[in-house]
Amino acid sequence: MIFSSIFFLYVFLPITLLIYFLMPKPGRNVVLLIVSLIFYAWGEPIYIFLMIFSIVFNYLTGIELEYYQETGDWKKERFCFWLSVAVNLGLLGFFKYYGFFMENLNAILPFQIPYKELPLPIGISFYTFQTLSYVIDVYRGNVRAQRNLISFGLYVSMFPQLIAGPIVQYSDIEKQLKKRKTSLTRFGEGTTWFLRGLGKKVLLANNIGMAFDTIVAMPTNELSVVTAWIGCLAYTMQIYYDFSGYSDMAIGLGKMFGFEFMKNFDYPYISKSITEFWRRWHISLGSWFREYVYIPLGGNRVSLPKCIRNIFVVWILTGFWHGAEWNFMLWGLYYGILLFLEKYVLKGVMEKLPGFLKHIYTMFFVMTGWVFFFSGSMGKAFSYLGAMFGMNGAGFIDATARYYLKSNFWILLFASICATPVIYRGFRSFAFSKGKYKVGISVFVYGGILILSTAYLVNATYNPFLYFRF
Amino acid sequence: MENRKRNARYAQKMARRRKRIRIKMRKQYRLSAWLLLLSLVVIVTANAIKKDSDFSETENRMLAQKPEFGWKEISDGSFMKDYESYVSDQFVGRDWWISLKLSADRLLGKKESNGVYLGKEKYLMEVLSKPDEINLERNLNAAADFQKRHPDLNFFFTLIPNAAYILTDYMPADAPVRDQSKDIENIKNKLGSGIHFLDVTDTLKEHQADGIYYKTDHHWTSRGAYEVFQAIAPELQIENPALEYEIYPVTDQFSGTLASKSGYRKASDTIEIYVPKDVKNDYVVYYPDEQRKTASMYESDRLEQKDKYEVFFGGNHALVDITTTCEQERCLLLFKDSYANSFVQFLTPYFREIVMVDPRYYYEDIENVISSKRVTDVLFLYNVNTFLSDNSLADVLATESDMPETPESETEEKSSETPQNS
Repeated sequence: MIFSSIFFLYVFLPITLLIYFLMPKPGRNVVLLIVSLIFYAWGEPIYIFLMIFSIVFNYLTGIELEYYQETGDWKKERFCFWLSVAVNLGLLGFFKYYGFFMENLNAILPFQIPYKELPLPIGISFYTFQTLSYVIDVYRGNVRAQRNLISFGLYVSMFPQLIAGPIVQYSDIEKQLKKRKTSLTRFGEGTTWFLRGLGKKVLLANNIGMAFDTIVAMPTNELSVVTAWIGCLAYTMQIYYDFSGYSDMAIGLGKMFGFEFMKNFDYPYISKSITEFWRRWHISLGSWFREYVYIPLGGNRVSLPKCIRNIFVVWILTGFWHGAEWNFMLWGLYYGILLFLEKYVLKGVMEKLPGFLKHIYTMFFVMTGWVFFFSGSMGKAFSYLGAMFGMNGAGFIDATARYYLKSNFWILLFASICATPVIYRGFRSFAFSKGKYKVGISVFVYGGILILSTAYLVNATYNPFLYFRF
Repeated sequence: MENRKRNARYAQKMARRRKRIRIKMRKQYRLSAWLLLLSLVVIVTANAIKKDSDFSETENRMLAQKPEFGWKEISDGSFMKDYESYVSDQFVGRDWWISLKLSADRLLGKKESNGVYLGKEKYLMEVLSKPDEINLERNLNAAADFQKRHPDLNFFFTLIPNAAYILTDYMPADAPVRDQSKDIENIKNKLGSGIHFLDVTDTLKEHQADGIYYKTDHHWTSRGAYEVFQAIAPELQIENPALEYEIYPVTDQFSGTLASKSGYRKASDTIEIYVPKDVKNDYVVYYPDEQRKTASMYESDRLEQKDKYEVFFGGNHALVDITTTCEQERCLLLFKDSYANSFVQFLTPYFREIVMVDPRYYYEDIENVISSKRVTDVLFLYNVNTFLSDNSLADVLATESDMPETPESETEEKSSETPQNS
């Protein structure tokens, strides 16, 4: 199930809210756990068993680790820890990378091993990272093991952040699982987050996505430079609004139920360097890798060669986390190289550049990077890049480019402006400035987002059947 | 002293400001909470009260109904899927939400909706399709072979370009349009010299402003058919074609397939029928599939239904046989799609018999028709979009020996493929 659907908004959410708030406080975790499991099972019911296994296994691991720590049995503790890491990564690897692995294995083997690609369990990349953070934190002694199976199950499966993050680290949420405050004000704050996210996803991302889909479906050798850049810009906007919209909805839903999740996006496209971009983009993933991979490897407090190794390990893993294809790995490597250069080579140059050049530099590499991300294969990525730089001989601008520019101009412009803090900051200072009806007007705007988004979602299933005589 | 006072005042001011923001923020949050809760309550209640409907007029399809609940359906996930479509199909005020979305799109400057261009002056035009190369090749070869088997017959072939290609003045600016004259040229070259190809592109281009296509439907109008008839009558060897026609508008409430497909229902079209003056034009139409004879090609009861273009012959049939009182000895075999349905009204005065065959539904042996009816002329009339994706003509034109499969299996294959255009 996804948040941006009629069913979630007008069936699942109202029922969940009703039961949750009618339930006295001690029962609320159970309610959330049950609805989260239903939410998870909705799309692919069979994987509910995988989820339950993951919950129980990591719950027991936590308790076991703590037991060995108390008894001082370090050898067993170590074994137990690595076993659990292996199981968690093994499950992720099996479900996410099995098809990729077999495909590449078959490519180098002289014979073919038949295999069937499995449907990816929703959110497995996210919740595996959550369970790992728990196990690692218990192992390091940073947190106590969770003795309450329901609280632990809720941590792993909580539906707001289950399928697309933010990746919540156990230590951040431990207290909230036990005790959290709900109030009308917080619920309302959550509502504003949720509606902003809904608008980002349904009104911006989905609409811009249509332009991207048509452009990317055209043969790359016919794309003029401008068309290719419009396509790339459209994807740049689509992925930001899609992902950050989803995170905002998750944060908003969390607040409604009394949880605080970390901010996942912070206007990444206003960054003045790639380093800054990754501090603002998918923050929870970045901090996970920093906390559990980069720093344990020694971070930047080791010798230079090791430092460089650390950067590349983290970024290739980051790329691979996004999908089981070579182009994702290349995308990770691409960022590894850029970050390495920024850190060790370009530092002096960067400081002297004027601000707007830094913006251009950053967006240029971010947009180019997305080409690796959206192309299904390396070959496609390079031929699309070729089109962007006029290497396919299709010219700089043509009628097709003008058409897509014209028909998407306003939405792309609006999306680009909204990717900076200008609009939202202006909206807030308007709403909270002196004057009688300004708060009312701002709430009216949120109402507008809800109504328009509903219209677009209803329309998603607009499906006229035109020739019923056949 | 003075400074400290000022600082204190400033601090006070800032504190007041912070307080104001805090209060206003709270107010905003609380109002937003009520907004969401109220919206949910209203919509959920309305959905609960609203009776489920079976059919959507605007979308012209059956709506999803509440799915059966059972463990099997749950474990394979079909219950969840069906339930989601049930909820959105039966959503309260569905048509209103859809039109709201379309207005928003329009405001944003969208020029396309669901494969339909939103042209100027409310013209809706289909996005042109690419050829299905394999079937196109087969069809053209089959037509050429067919002609070679019947060298004694007159062969004519005409393709009607679609609105998006002809009506350049009404297209959204710079919209990418497939060059159908290249497609036509390509087809013409492959047909061979035995088939007389009639190119009507220029004729139609000249009459762009005359309403030769419906605004809301993918067909041409009777006016368009009239212009083409006037242009090609000499080539069809029709002497003294009628110039004067009585034009009857039979409905002005036609909202066609493109209106449904795009969702834009701003315009409604008028359907006209053309009856020649000063020419004897009596005929009998026989529908073998319905075992029915009638003295008119216009089925006026179809004007009551949604697809009013079916006023011409009640839509498509595998075969329609028209016998006339014409004294000419010519008998025309017409291979066609639905574009021809409004064209035949111009032909009846000049042929003793006209046999319309729609290869998409026709499974008999065509040779029997040729010999039993004593056919003298053969005309292929399609619109370009349909012809480029047609997968049925070759099978009808092939002789028994050409056909690798039994007719029954062919039947199944054909009917499972729904043609995009009728």
